[in-house]
Amino acid sequence: MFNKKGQEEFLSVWWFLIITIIGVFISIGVIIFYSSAIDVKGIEAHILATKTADCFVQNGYLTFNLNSIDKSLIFEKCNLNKEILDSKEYYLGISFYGYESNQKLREPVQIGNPTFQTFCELEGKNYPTCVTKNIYTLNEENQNFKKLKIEISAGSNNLGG
Amino acid sequence: MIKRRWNKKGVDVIMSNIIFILLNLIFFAAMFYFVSRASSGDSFYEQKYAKKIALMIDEAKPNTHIELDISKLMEKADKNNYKNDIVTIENNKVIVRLRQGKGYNFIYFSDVKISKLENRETKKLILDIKENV
Repeated sequence: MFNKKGQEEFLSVWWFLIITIIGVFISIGVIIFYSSAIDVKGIEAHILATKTADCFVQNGYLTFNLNSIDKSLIFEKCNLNKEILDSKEYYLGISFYGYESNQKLREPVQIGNPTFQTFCELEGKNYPTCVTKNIYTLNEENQNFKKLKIEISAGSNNLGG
Repeated sequence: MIKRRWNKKGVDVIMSNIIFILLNLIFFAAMFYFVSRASSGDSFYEQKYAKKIALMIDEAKPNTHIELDISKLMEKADKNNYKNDIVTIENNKVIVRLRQGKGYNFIYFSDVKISKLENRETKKLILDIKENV
């Protein structure tokens, strides 16, 4: 048996209040979800690091002379756009280490926004996303082959708009 | 003649239940409509495809031929009566527009030469990526 008073309460102001609150929260959730940017910064950083690695190493050998590597050579040979990469949205850092000694063989090459090195460690949608790749390669110097490690750090904070 | 007498209490209960169910149905139908409208919004598709195309360009090596199904974009552009190019590639930016306006743009970092064709019949976007010499 139904209690008539109880039945009436179903359609009371409280019921409408509850259903309105639920509706408002669902609407807010949907609006936030669909208006937020699709985050592809990590994918971009990964592509940039992979592209640089492919450019630097071919068949296991370093493509360039270790001491002649600089920004202009990278832009020229790796099909990377200078204006875009030199903007604040990207970072590319390349360091060279001895395979066994793990000591720096030369000064690293840095392109783009160097503050990413710090900001990449922070979490949040406004901070850049970075990827680090280590690749091992052979470098020919006066017909001597030396193993070396190349550390490629790539970061992106490209939000689009 | 038999006279059928309705029980007033019973009618009240049924009516209030029917109204309750109807109001619930209206509420859920409205929510479903709102969510489906929001999820198929033009700006969401502009962003999705601009990023997708820019990432494809960045990942591609020179001499790559790309064919991308953009039937969904064409359908939406037709709905908005937008007859111009949906995808524009200029100054290292991919711009996707589904209506008049600035659309959504996304930068790509590769230094390549791109020739683009929007095929309205096959509903495909064709990109030819060449080395920038």
